[in-house]
Amino acid sequence: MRLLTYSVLVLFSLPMLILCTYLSIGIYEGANILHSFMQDSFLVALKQSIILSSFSTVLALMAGLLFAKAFCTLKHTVLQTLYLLVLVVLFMIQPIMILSVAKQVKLFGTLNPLSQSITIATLHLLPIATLFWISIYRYIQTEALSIAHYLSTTKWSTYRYIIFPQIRLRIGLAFLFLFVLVFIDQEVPSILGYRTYTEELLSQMTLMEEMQTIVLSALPSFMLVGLLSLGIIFGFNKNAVSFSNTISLNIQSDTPFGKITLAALYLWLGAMLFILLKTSLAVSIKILFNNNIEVILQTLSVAVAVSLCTLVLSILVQHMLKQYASRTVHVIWACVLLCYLLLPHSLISLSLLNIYQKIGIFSSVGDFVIFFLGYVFVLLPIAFLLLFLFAMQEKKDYFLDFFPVPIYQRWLKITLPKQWAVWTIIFLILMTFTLNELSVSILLVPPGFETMIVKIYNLLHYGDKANIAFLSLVQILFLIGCFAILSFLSKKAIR
Amino acid sequence: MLTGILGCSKENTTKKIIIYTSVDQVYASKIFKDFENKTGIKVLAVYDTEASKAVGLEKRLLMEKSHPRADIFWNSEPIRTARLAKQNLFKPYTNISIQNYQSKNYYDANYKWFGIGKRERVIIVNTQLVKKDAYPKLLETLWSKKYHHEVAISSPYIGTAATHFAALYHALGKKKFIQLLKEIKVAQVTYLAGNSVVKDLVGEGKYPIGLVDSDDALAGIKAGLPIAMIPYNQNGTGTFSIVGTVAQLNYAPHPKAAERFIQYLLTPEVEQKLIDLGAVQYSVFKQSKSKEPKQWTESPNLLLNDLEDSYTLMKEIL
Repeated sequence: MRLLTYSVLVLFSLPMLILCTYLSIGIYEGANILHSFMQDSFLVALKQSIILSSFSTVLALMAGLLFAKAFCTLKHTVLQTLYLLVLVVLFMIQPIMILSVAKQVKLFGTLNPLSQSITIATLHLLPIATLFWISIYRYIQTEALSIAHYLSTTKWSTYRYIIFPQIRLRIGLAFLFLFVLVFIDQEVPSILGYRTYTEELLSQMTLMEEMQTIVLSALPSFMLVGLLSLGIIFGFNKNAVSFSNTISLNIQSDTPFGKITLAALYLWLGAMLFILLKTSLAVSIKILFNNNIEVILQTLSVAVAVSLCTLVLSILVQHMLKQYASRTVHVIWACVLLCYLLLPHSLISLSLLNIYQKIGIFSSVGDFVIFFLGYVFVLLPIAFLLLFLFAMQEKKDYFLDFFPVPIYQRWLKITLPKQWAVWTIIFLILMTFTLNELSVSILLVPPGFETMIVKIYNLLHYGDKANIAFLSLVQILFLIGCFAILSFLSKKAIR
Repeated sequence: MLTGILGCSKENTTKKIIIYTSVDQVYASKIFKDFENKTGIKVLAVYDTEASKAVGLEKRLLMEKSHPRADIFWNSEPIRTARLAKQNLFKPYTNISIQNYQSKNYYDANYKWFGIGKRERVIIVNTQLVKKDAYPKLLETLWSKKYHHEVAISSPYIGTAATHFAALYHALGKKKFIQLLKEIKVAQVTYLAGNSVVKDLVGEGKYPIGLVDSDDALAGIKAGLPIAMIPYNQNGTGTFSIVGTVAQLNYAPHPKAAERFIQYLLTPEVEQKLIDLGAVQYSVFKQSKSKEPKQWTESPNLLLNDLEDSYTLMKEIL
């Protein structure tokens, strides 16, 4: 098992090593790094991206905190399940669709491009920020809080000395994750006329033909987010690079606040679905179905397979790391993950394509394997981060020392029921990322294989709103269906 | 899908062709279907998107240079094709009469790529914001004081806008081109992510005037946006035209099928289909009887060097 873990780590690091090699070649060949840092257009775009990402992330986290607090006031499992469902479904609505709905609000049109971009990014991030807060909020040590209560410590002292030290790393990583999500996205800001760093990077790549120059051009973002990541890991919690966790906070009784928030979220989702349905019904359902059935089936089957595979792989590696790896391996692993998280997905795809070319054994099977791996490589760091952020408390089961049971039974009877809800949510979020991933869909897609995202972007060019709305609607309904099936299969309700 | 996964990739055992195309899926897929019906050869396509910008199929083809997976690169513009040809990615195709072409700018002198269908760069205006008698008729007027802060163009570093600016550099010379860039800078022109974004924002009234490709303008008009398309400089040089291109990859896995596709595509009939669909607006062949606005273009091979020079100047000045 240990060998398997290290094999996965090495395999996963391969594209990164290739990119590092190209980077070294680029530097050795005298490419002018300072030049790319100092260009006016680059600096302006970098500044604009930082402003957009910071504001959107902070706003999403602040609003998410409120929504998470509302969730924690819901006692009934059904209400909690509905709450989680609406959050996951809202997160899967593409920013481009949120934009098309927002454009129908007059006030939105009066905002400047920056405010518009922040609004869309915040609305997109809010559900996942809420999920992060729920996970953070629910796992604060209750024993320490009880002692604090018994000693009549002030609220501030309780927060400062008990709560914050437990959650600061999680808040930091949640911030980083959301920040990167906004930072690497260029589509919506560029549609709104707000120039971002990623767009600038892409325009710089226009004339680049050598891989080392392309990789080198990504260096500034790499360093920026790299420094941010290191600051968060080492500044917030020097001993916290592990997957261990804390204890669940008791949930109080239902309150109107929770129910009103739940209703508001469903209202928002309902409005989105209504607009999508109304837009798609401009064309007959039969035509829409005939036009899109093949691409829907192909994309959804790949998305399910990729998300499932990535989730299983990340759970296994996480388990192995916990069991066998030293702290140094944890730190190296965390650094590799963070590097992947901030790399433009096109670079990961290009390096995989490069490996495929170097191997030189080409077949239709190979095409699909490399396509599949492209998604896995892009999703794996996201899966790990989500597993960490949504991690459940691990109690030592002492009775197992006295009544040893086989490992597969332990997984089946203890771990699986306990983790089911969290894994379901992570699986659905991974599906969302797979369905919205563009670079892999262009650079690694096997010939003849269509993906929904490429089709949506092509249709956007022509303002074919009916087909776009239909494809988006199918994605949302499919996820709701997955959630329903997984919830049905789960005997243990989400707590 | 399963047969696709398990299928064999040797040409002799299957009748198929792999085409990488940046022509929009809505158009290209119809041409592929027609080709499949006529020849029985299955087309396996890989499409690009405007959103992928520079890191799309061109980079994929470069990466695959030593072991090409594609048979054909069908591109919606000429510069990237010429650049790949310069890198020796394409195989000459000689079974064609170049006399049919209107201009030698529409094919490669070494027979490595050929033009198919033309679009043009056009001015668009929001008809609710600009009165008909105030429509700009010349490209130069877009940078005049009258239109300061009102004009949007797609980023001049990518796509057809980059080609257009490289051609302007070629036509004007360095000194006048620098002057032009300075005027654009003073005019506070807004640079957007792509031509379709310009078309949408002009349609929404965010900007009264824009500069886009004719297919974008027509798509906007078809979608009901309040825009009008203006072929500019009709008393002078005319609009700048962009020709679509097709090329066969060196060491293509299915060379015979690739040749059949080129034979099929490079005909006035198929070009007319593309015109009817709206993918392109004008013909590159002499046989065409359609009335065209006055246009000009340059050889893509010549523009290759200009692309880098104009890019550097734009980075410095804009």
